[in-house]
Amino acid sequence: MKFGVVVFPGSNCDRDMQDALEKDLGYPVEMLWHKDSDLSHFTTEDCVVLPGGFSYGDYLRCGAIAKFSPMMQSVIEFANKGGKVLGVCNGFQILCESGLLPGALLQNDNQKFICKNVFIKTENSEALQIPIAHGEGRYFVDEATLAHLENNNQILFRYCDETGNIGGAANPNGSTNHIAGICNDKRNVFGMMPHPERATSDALNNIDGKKVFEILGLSKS
Amino acid sequence: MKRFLLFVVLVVFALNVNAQQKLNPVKWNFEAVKKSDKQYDIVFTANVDAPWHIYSQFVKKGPVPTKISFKKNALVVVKGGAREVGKLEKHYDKNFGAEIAYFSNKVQFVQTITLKVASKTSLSGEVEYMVCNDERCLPPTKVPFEVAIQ
Repeated sequence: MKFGVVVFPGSNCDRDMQDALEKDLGYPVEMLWHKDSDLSHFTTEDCVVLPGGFSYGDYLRCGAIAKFSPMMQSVIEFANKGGKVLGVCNGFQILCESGLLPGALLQNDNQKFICKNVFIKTENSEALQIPIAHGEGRYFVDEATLAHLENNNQILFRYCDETGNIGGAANPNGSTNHIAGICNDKRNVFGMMPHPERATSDALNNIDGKKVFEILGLSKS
Repeated sequence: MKRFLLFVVLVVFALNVNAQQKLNPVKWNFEAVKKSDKQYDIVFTANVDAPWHIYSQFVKKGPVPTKISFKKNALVVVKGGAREVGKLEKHYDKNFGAEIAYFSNKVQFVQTITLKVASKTSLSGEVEYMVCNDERCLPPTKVPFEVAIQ
């Protein structure tokens, strides 16, 4: 399994993602330039990552311009063939804008950029400490789609406190039903606002991000 | 000698505080009971050890009433308050200077909720309550809950 990390103008977590995947998780990584479009050497066993940042300056709407890049056209095709795609933060916004994931990321309910450690959990996991850094991270989706996500177990992560209690003050941005990350129907496209790549090294005193990659099936323990 | 006595007093005090912190005379159980396609009763059952009693939600003066609060869920409508199912006891408490309503042994608080779209989800929140017996009260306590709605 290898990873590709797409570099857009304005991406600023691409090197963090590369470091985490290569040095902390031990996978080969290829950086993919947004103007290129060749993904022919990637198979459905591989994963393309859309990293965090401010692609195209976040002009118009976060992720709205990135979806028109040549590389994103190939990523959409790759995902539709069953290839794995992970979007983190701005990458999650791009996936929603591209239609690979449902919903949208709205401005945080406190109208401020938030940069801090939060806790997230799956339905069965313990609370995992993962950093967030975003101004538009309030996941929103209509009720019918939300019900579909719930019924189909597509809600991967929700914000919780350190003891695992979901929601309330632990929800940093007012996200609908405390959603921090979701996947698509086929379970090969994943999007999340928290940054697991910032929590994969002992040097950072936090390796909960490794567990996130394992939960997503993108890494082995 | 004075220091030794002070040490003994502090140890006894600490043990007493510790014992009080561990006292937990109320066992809570939370469940969702399906009433129709989109309607559920969320049942909060409090089993209260004797001789303690827990207060009604509608106590106006004196002890802290039981209070149930829900975290927001975009699929759920919580309308109205919870019904109380149990043997309500009332008596005038001269310490509080008011008539106090409470439950002993067991009480159920039943909150009806409606789903906007039929789906599985979970509802979480917090129950705040206070218990007393004839001699003393314990500090108000908050218990988080999460109920799966299938």
